[in-house]
Amino acid sequence: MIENEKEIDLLYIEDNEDFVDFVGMAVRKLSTPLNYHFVTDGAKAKQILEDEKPTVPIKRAKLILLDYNLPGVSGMQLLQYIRSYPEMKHTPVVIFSSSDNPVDVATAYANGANAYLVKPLGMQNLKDTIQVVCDFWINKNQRCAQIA
Amino acid sequence: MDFKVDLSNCDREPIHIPGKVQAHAVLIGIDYKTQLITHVSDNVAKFFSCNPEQLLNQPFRVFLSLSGIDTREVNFLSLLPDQFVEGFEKENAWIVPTNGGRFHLVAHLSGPTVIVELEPAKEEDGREVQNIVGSLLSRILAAKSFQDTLDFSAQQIKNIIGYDRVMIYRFAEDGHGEVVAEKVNDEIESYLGLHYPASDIPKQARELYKKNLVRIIADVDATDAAIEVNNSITQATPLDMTDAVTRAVSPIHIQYLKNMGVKASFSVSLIADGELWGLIACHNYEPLLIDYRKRNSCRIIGQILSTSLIFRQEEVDNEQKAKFNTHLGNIIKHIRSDIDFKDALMQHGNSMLDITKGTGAALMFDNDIFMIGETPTQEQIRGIAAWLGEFNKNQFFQTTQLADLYPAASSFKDVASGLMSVAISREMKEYIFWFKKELPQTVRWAGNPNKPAEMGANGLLQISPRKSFEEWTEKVQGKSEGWQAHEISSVMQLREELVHIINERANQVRKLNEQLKQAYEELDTFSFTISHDLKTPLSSIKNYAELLIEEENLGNEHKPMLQKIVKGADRMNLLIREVLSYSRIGRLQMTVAPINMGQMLDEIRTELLNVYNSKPVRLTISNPVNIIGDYTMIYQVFTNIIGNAVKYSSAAEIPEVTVETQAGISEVTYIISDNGIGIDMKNGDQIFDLFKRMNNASPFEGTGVGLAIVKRIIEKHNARIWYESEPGNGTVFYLIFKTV
Repeated sequence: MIENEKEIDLLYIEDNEDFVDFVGMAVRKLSTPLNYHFVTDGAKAKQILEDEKPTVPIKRAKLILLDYNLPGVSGMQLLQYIRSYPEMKHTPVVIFSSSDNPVDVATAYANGANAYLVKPLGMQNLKDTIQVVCDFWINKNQRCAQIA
Repeated sequence: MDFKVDLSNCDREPIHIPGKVQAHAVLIGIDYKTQLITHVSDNVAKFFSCNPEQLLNQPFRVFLSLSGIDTREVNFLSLLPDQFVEGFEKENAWIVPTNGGRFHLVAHLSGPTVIVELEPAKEEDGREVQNIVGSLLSRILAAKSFQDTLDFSAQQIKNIIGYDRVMIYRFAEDGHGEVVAEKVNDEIESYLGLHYPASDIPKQARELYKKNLVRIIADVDATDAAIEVNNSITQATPLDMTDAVTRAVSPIHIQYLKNMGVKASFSVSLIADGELWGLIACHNYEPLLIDYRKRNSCRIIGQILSTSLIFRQEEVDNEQKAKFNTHLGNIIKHIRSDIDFKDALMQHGNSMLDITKGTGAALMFDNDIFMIGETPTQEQIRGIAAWLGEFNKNQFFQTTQLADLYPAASSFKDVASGLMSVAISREMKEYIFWFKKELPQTVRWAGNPNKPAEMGANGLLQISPRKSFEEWTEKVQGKSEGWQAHEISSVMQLREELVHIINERANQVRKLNEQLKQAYEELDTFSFTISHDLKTPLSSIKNYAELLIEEENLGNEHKPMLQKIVKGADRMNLLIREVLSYSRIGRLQMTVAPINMGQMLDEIRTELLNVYNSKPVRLTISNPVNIIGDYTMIYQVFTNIIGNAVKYSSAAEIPEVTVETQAGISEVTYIISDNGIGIDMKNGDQIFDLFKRMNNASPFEGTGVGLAIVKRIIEKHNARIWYESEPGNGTVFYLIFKTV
């Protein structure tokens, strides 16, 4: 875990540690360096969100990459939970899953996901995907201003 | 009585108040309260030494003493001893000696009047009525047949009354009568089998036949005796002679008998279940009185016969009912034991035909028609069903004259004049029909039944008894025997049972369907989960392998092995994707629309040539014809078939693949040929099995799923696919699709 008071650029919530590593490696290869943060368990993510003085300012993450099939607190439960915070209502959440089940895709959008990506096979494909996603959502996409 | 009978009032002729008595009898009316004589027939002087003037307004005993009747035997008080007792016999009768000989004296009450009728009594002939009754009863019980009972009864009556002709006459539903039994003197023409039109016996006469069980007309030529009335007492109401046994007969009826040449007539009513079943009608060609006692004997015979009518009819009905029930029971048993109910209804000896007296039956079910016995043709039966759907909105229908309602039926009235039907489902046009043949066809009428009226002398139409009784035959057309209550109840029962079972089976199918749907959904989830769970570790394997390949510290000798891991992972990924795709075809919604095949094939061509860009593939597409289908699925089919053609001919020096078409009327055949390695035809359809790869295919990459997907899509489209091939000599695939 990267200890940093800086704003989080990319928060990845994923139980598969291999993928946490792969995405981490892909992020390191990006042209623009990013503040990357990951949580490997839905329940832990939920706990951090509830924490009034969190060690990590995840509520202000610029982009959340969320695994669909999380054990315990599932990806969809977590998504609903995220959307229940006013300050996270418009945080871009991209679902990152190896499933292309249309039912899952529809459920994700119904719960307020901004995009649904199927995990690509192969490192190069993964790097390309991460590059495109981060470029779009973090750099190009206009974020919704916080209304105090 | 000056009642003129014509067509408008014939049914209202007041035959119960004729104001006259037959010539052979004397009638005396006595007011019950004053006990004075109020009515006397004017023929009293012919029999007794007194006249009406001497009797009217006098006590009854005046008549008794003038006629020499012993008042110890009969007096006014003894006439109606128990009149207020419930169940009191209508009439009391005595045989009394008078100064004019022995007379039957019969008394009954009509309104305020005690009516006394006197008729000459004949000598007893020794035949005791008890004997006749006894032998008749035992004969009825032992009778071989109903006909036998009728014949025997007719003979007994003839023996008692000695008339020339004794007929038993039976009324049909429409009121016409038929002579069903007859005993007649040898020299006289028989009427057996003749039919009499309904108008021969008008309605009110029928009612009287139900009240007066016996009727005598001793001499049609004798002048009736008028009844003289004491005017001071009775003005308003004419004497009601409904129950008077010697009541004068309607002049119309007398004329009718005269026209027939009959001089004396006698009838006994036969009543079954409160209705006039028929008559024992007796004719004599000379005047002949049957005295009161003999008439009573005949009445008893009639009553016994009447009882046996009911008994006999019930016996016949019960026998029939039992037979129908047995067959019905067997059919139902078969249906319940899961036998296809078409078979259950058609089983020889226990078919739907055996639960009625129908001569043919047909089952219309699932758009098929199954027939048994004598029936109209399939086409004609479809015609009936179509007509019935419009004509009758009920589940049940029956007629005995189908052609009257449905004129097209006249062409097959011989087999189906009678129709009874139950609808299994009116919506689905599912019916069972029972047919009855046209009845035997000639009716022998006594005279022309269509001419009950003749022009009177005054130019008015008058009901006048037919003058001609010459046999007159008429062809009855398009009419079958009636459908009996127990036939109807047995088909209704069958229908209930069928509908119940059909519903039960439909529910089973519905349940199965739901289970199937659920299983499909589970399978769907299962395949996605499996593919997800398989793909995740696969990603790890491939990604780590790739990362290692890029690792600079790793020796070059290990890199090919890592490359093989990557390749293996790719292959597994492909396999997972294809299996998932295959499993989903069955459940995918098809969007069927015309497909621009030229465009699609071009796309596929470009894609394939990209994959094989290092090879000189010759891929020719000629005359693409548009087809109807689901775009994505058809795309998969052609990608697979053309892709295989290119793949398996890739070892050839110049792979040559051609796509041609042959257009038919509403379909097109796509012919895809290659110069590849070919397929051993012995493998037949196995090439379409999942994961099946031919022996000679192993050098080529593949999952064994592609052709299985093709086959499933083809089946979903109701299209056809087959191939011709020889190992080493290329393969030709034929695919037929619909173009409209």
